[in-house]
Amino acid sequence: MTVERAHAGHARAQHGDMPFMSMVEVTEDLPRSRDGLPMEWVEVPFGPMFPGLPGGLLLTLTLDGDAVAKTRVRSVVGGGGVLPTAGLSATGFIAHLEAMDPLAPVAYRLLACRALEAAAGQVPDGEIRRRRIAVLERERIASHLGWLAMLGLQTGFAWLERHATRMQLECLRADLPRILQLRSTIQALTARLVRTPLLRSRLHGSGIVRPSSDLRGPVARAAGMRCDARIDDETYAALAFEMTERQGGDGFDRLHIRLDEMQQSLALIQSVGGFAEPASTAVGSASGAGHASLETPRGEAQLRLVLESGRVVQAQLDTATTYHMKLLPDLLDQQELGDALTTVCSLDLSPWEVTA
Amino acid sequence: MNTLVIVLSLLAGAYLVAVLEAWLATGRFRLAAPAWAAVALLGRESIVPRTPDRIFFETAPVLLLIAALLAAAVLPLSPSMVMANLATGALFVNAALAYVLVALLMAGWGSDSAYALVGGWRFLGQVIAYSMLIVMPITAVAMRAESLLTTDIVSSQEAVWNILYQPIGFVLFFVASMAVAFLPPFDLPIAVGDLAGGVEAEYTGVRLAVFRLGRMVLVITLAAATTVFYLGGWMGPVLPPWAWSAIKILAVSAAMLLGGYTLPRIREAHLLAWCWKLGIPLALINLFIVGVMVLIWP
Repeated sequence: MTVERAHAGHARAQHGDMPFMSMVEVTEDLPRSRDGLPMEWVEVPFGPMFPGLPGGLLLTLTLDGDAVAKTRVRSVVGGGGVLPTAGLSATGFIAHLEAMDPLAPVAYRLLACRALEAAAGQVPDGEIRRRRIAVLERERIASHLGWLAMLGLQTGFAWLERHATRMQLECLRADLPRILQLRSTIQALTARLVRTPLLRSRLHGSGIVRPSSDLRGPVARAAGMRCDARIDDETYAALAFEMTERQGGDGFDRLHIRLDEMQQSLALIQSVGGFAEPASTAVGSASGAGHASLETPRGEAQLRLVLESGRVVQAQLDTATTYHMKLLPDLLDQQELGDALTTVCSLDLSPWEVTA
Repeated sequence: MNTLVIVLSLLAGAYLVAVLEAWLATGRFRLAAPAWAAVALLGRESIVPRTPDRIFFETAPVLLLIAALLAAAVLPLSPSMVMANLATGALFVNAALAYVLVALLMAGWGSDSAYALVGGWRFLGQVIAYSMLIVMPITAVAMRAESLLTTDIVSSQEAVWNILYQPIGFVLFFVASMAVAFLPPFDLPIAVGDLAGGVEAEYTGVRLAVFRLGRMVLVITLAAATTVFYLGGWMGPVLPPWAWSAIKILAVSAAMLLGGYTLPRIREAHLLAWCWKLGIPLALINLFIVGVMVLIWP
């Protein structure tokens, strides 16, 4: 965090016994910006606890003036592997995966249940599947509201931060009647945000991503990709689910996608008409390999596991943030600092779900 | 005596602004919140960064407070309640506000921290954006009053307040005032989400308390300037002049805080572009219109 080069440069300018040096000589060893201007670059850490960025994300930016010249990023809370070497019982594995990402515990719990059921050859009842979806969609709404609160903090939009935080807390605890009451509040929030010109100008054109195989979830859908694990899910199909997408791929499109998804999730919850938390799966002493995929609030997560006599002995997890973090060095290059941090925020990264 | 009363009024006003700011931030109205926050800050260890530029670091918060007080010195709360009724009063306000930039640059450089340094330079860019939007509307106000005396400027609004006589100037001055006081959406130098506090980031304890007091007094001073230049100063029925001044100043301060609360922070490039491409042409149009109106309907 210290600006050693900057103050060192100041010290170098002390006159005293130093002979005169031209500006060319003074700046000859300094790195060059893209425009050829010699500047003193400063390496600044943002995180792992930085307001406006997800906790656990360590972003190290090399600043050329206030433009980003280099980016290094890593998760200090994830990347430890999905499974302890000794393996886990089915119940233990579900709890382990649920605790892995505190930003989306229901999604990972459900993913673990589905993969275990696939490995054990079990098919849950249709009504249970529908009600599990309702719980997942409730978490999606809460997660998007949490992201909005973080966006509010990052962009200095105090009204958004306060309202989104309050609504997120309400949503996390809400039963069916209460969550349906939130519909009008969320509609009002959506209308207000879309109509705020400064928010549009802040996000429009920031962090444009083009369609690529590295994109997942709302980030991909905002770039015009038909990328949503729910499309191929029979239960969602029965609920007349239709994916939302936009074409621009910038921060404002990502905001739009998440706002639309909150409305869509409310409609899905209303169609289902009740919640069922994903419960521990009784796999007994079954053995086999299982695969499950699920659309978490941040994008598709895939889990492959091997079950031996009722114990999970191998597991491989594929998550959206693992891919999205790799985008950052190119995405932030030459962006102004504020825009760069808004771009990072707009990707809605969860450092907890980084697996590699 | 006047000086003491005005300084105490400024401090009381700054306290009420802090109450309002805390209310907006937390959603709870607590009259004692700033007092507790001040006690907490004063009781906290005042940490100094590892290798600060000590003179700059120590001077900056005090200079910010002094700049705000200096600007307030020429602003009247009533015909007789003004610290110094200078013949160049309106110009003096602008000159005193220039030291806000100096204070923030000193805080940015002196802290020896990247967040503070970027915050300081950001404010320099912000000054380039807003400075003409302070000077040019003041010029139009002085044109109508045919004087730089702030008491004359208030008296010139006896028939019609300047907010109606030169509304473009009012809007420009109000927005630029928010930028001077680095209030949201112009809080680029102290952005929490970008810079973890920016120029404030390395200040703790009593130094941070002085810095924040300086900012609150600056908000009150700029609201007082808006009141004097555009809202008829102390003028109003029934109540004594000082009471009208107080009501208007607090209302303008509240409007500034509320405006910022409902908007996201502006991008630095957009601030510069809008100020230079839109603000300055509007300020010139305002000068022209006021010039014509002064000839037709003084």
